[in-house]
Amino acid sequence: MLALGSTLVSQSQHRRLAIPALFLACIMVFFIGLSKGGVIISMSEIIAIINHTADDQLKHAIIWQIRLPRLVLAMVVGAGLAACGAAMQAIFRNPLADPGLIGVSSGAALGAVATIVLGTSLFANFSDSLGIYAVPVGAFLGCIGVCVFIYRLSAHSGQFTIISLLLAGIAVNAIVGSLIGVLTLISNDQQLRDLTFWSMGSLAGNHFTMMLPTLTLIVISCIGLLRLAKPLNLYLLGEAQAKHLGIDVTKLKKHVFIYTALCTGAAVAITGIIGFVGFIVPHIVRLVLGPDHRYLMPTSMLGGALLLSLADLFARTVMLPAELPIGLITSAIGGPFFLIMLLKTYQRRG
Amino acid sequence: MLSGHNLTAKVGKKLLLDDVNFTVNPYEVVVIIGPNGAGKSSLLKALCGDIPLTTGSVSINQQNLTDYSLSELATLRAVLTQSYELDFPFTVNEVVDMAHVAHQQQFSSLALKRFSSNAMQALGVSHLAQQCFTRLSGGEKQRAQLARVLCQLQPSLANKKNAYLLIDEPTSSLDLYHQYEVMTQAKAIAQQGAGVVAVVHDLSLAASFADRLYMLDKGRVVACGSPKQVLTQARLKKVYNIDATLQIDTDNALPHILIRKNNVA
Repeated sequence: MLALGSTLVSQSQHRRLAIPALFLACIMVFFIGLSKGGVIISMSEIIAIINHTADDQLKHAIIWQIRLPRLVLAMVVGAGLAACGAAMQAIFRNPLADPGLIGVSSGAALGAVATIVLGTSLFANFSDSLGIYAVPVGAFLGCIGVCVFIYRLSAHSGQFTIISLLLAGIAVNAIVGSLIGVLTLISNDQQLRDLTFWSMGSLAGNHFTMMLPTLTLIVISCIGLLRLAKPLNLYLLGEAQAKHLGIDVTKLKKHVFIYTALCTGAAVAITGIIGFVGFIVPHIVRLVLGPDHRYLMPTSMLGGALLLSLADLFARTVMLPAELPIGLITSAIGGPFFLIMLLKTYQRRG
Repeated sequence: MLSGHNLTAKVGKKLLLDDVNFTVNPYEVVVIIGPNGAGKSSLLKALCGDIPLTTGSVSINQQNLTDYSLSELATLRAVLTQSYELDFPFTVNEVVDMAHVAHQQQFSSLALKRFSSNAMQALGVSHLAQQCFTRLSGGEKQRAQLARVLCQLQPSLANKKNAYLLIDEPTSSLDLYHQYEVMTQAKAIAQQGAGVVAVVHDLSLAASFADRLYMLDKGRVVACGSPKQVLTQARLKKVYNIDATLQIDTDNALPHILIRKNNVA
């Protein structure tokens, strides 16, 4: 197992400090995020704008219509992705698992790509009636569709075993991947550009009205996952062992599946694919706090919120006035991190 | 009393259990023995309610197993399985505390903590409490898990409820000392009022600790009773195909199986 032989030095102390410390860090990043960007807005101005006592209309619009929605989205999506990562790693009892395994990413990608490429021809009605909501709705439907398919496949014999879930996930992901390939092949230049940028993820250009369904779904799923923290601990003992301790293991797996599909689906639909947040955050938290989900879940959520809002701050300020796709940044952090983890594990094994 | 009546279980066409009747009472250690593929683990799984039965039923304290909810069941019986998939770095203390979930409605968390520390003390793993479970040796892991199941049973035993411990080949990966130690602990748990059922491969070990033995062969119970009644020379020949005798009360030694030279090819 990767990176699991963690030290247990003062874990309980870390547990007490982690949540307040991360919470403070989130608040700091929140205010820095509001102030930094193409137009720098000072703290006093921010406070005035939030209280609606400022008269600068431009800055008012920047805060209320651009930066605040974006920060809220970054934090909520980051928290959701990290929580789902932690839950998937528990359910697969493998620290390398991520929501992609149950078809969330590929399904959303299929939905989004289909809407982008076929939106002017085959799905013209769908695209016209939904307007700017077409791609998010398409992505969400694609995600839920593929997840339901994988769920049905693996729950086929009433067992819902992890191995059947894994195999169904791999097979369906491969099929969906080839469908995306076909759609990419028939797309024109503009569509190709659109779908490429979609797949790199972005938190830009969302209004509160557009974000509301996403935020609601993520918050509901996060609360659901938090409530499963204790059963998930027992689940790590083994399925039979958890059952002997009174846990309905099949129900637990189904709940985790549903929350993860809803949460990641809602996030991916609006932001595109943002890799590695769900993987690194629970990993780091587990190294520091240990595997107990009662701490791991809430701390990962805060950590995910912090990481994604920081990454987004970086994405939109580092090469002004242009903007980097956020998926690039999280992957650029996640890839090397993953390699370091691997190397450390090999070193430990000698 | 934990009992199984006319238990029959099949996988496809293969008969795992064939009309098995089984009982275990509080304060008693019952050991299930039999050659490979005799259905020992299947019987234990059937008693846990882990495999579907073709016919027959299992009851705990005069109530059918299927009439209990999973969480009620968790207060009445604990199961120690052969292997642990636990790959995440929980401490021993956290592993033992996992047993609390069965009793968190009836007991305060302080009382449950006391059950944990008692159980760890009983199994001699108190000094490992803050250690990472994944880094323990095989024997220490086994003892830590035994502490967990003891912690799961003790609240019920303290309330004078009949509770049962089911153990599936607890000794398969352990050295001789730890094999005897695990069984000694199981016996000690029985003396606190639990009914203990264990699947054991080693006949000498079984004979040393069992109040009663069930010998299985091809899914059927071929004999049941005290070690002396069950482990006869004729039956060992018939079921295990070895020429051997059970030695009891020799030179201050535990019972053991003596295998004749001419028989081992």
